[in-house]
Amino acid sequence: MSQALYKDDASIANEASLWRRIPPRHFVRDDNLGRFRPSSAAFDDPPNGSPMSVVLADLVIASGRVATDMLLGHEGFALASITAAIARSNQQGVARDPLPNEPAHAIEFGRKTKSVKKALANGSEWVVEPPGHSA
Amino acid sequence: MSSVLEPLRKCEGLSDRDWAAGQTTMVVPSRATLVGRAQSRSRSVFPFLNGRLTVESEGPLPVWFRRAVAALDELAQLPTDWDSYGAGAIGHQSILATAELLLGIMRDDTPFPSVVPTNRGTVLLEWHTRGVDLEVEVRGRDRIHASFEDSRDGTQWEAEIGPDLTQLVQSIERLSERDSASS
Repeated sequence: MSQALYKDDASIANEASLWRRIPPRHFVRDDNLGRFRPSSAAFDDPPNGSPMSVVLADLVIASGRVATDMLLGHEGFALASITAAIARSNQQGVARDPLPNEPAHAIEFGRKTKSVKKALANGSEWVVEPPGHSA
Repeated sequence: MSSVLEPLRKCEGLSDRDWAAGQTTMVVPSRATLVGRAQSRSRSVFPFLNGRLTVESEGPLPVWFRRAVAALDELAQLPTDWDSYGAGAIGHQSILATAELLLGIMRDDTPFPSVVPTNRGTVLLEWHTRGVDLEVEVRGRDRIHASFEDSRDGTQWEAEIGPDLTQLVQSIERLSERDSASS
């Protein structure tokens, strides 16, 4: 499906947290910030052209789950959060995309230039910090 | 500076088929030789891609190169879907091009970058230190995308980079010469 066909879902508030798994290879040391943070490479569309996957934190929590549940089966991964506002301020849209095995699944669509990916990475916060990389 | 980098263009052109054999050779003139100091030819062999990477250079290889080869070798071993979102394996041409690029731009006093895979099968080099944010995505030989930000003076640029590495070399020089305590 072309990303141009998606529409931003106004029912997702700007304050909504969008969670995304971060693989260990995308933990980078940022001495300017004095901490590890996700690489900009962690915020890209997959190579098949579909939009970037996230989950809506509110729906995860409403279903009785917690952040670490998003990492089950993904040992060593961390979980980062960006707000819908950060996505939208970088020309991205957010839409619900529930999956059979993940009703909280959503997509962040839009062209992801290098500057957009960097802005998303810089605007992200850890929800579950990288194991062994807290400082 | 381009004259220093020009010899790197003479490195062997390798396809993924070449890499499958597990034996790879790079020929890298050293900077010392390029400025006219005679050096003996040396040959270094590194374990790489279940085979060996042989690097022939005039003069010793920089001390960080072994670390770079190890980091790139790790990326080469990543299976598909290593990010859990459908990422592809890292292309061998991108890996070799990264090794060549590092030899062309790094100095002995350059901080070692984060060597990061992308879900498109390329290699991303990241420096976030000394007030500088430099990201260099190596898609293949002469196919590089770089972005640079210096928080100290507000300098920013983003560019597609081909064979002429001058802009990148100058940025690395700036990063290397900066006092690490002055971020």
